[in-house]
Amino acid sequence: MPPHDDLGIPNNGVLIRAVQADWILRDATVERITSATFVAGQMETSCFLADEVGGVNGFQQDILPLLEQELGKSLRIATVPVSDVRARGLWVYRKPEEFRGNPAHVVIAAPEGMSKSQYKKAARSLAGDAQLQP
Amino acid sequence: MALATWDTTLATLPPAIQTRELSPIKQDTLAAEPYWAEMQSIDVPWKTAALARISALEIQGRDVPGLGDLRPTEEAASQLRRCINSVTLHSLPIPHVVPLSGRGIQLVWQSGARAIEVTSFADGEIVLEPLENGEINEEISADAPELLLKWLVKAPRAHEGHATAR
Repeated sequence: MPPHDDLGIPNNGVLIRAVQADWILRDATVERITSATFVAGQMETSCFLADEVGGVNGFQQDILPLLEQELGKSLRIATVPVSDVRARGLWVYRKPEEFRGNPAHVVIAAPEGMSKSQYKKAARSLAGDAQLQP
Repeated sequence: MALATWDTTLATLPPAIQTRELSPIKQDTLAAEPYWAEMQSIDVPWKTAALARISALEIQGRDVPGLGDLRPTEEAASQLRRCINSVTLHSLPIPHVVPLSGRGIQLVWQSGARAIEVTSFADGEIVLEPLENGEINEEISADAPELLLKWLVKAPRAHEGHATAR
């Protein structure tokens, strides 16, 4: 299916994004995620619908270990509301074929016609709103 | 006539000197010299570190379904290298170079409250952004990396974290 905004994914939903260690900036005691967490080279960022993977705990138990095993490194988790994604003009839609056929796997994508500069700005702003989980 | 004079001069010199005068020592040039000369021209700590990191990402990057494809494309890597090589400033902070999901690369220079983010997308398109306290500074033109970097190193705390003092 071509990129689109899947309005079947509710605005009050929450997305979970796996975060690499080098996408986190540490200033003294504060940690924050950088734009690299949500900026993707092909303008599509993999996430999971929290409600459909058993929340953050379910994700940590069932999915995160698979990603860490594949990457060979440990990962953190960030969460962001679907409404925040749409508020920045970005789309959310399901892409189960990119993760073991799992329909909870979605992507945050740039709509057609959005420039890379606009996309980057939106993704940075989204990173500012996302919550890095302990 | 000139030849006769030359022969006379030689006849008065000891044999060893004759040989040396008639066979001037040739300056040998090692095949490696031009290579090393070229390497020295790019021997700038921040460039060396950034280029090495890009190469490492190309070799070590992995495709992780559910996280993203962390292997930079050839276009993303080569355009970022080109951007790096276009900068003539030697005294810059060592940049952070991180893989992006979707086969891109991001390079970030941080100096105090200021930062320059260079994003190389999978198709090789580069986006430059000047940031101040994490927000885009719209007043600075993002067209040329060299100008942005001059703005970066003029930051009040620009001396902190520099790789070289040159």
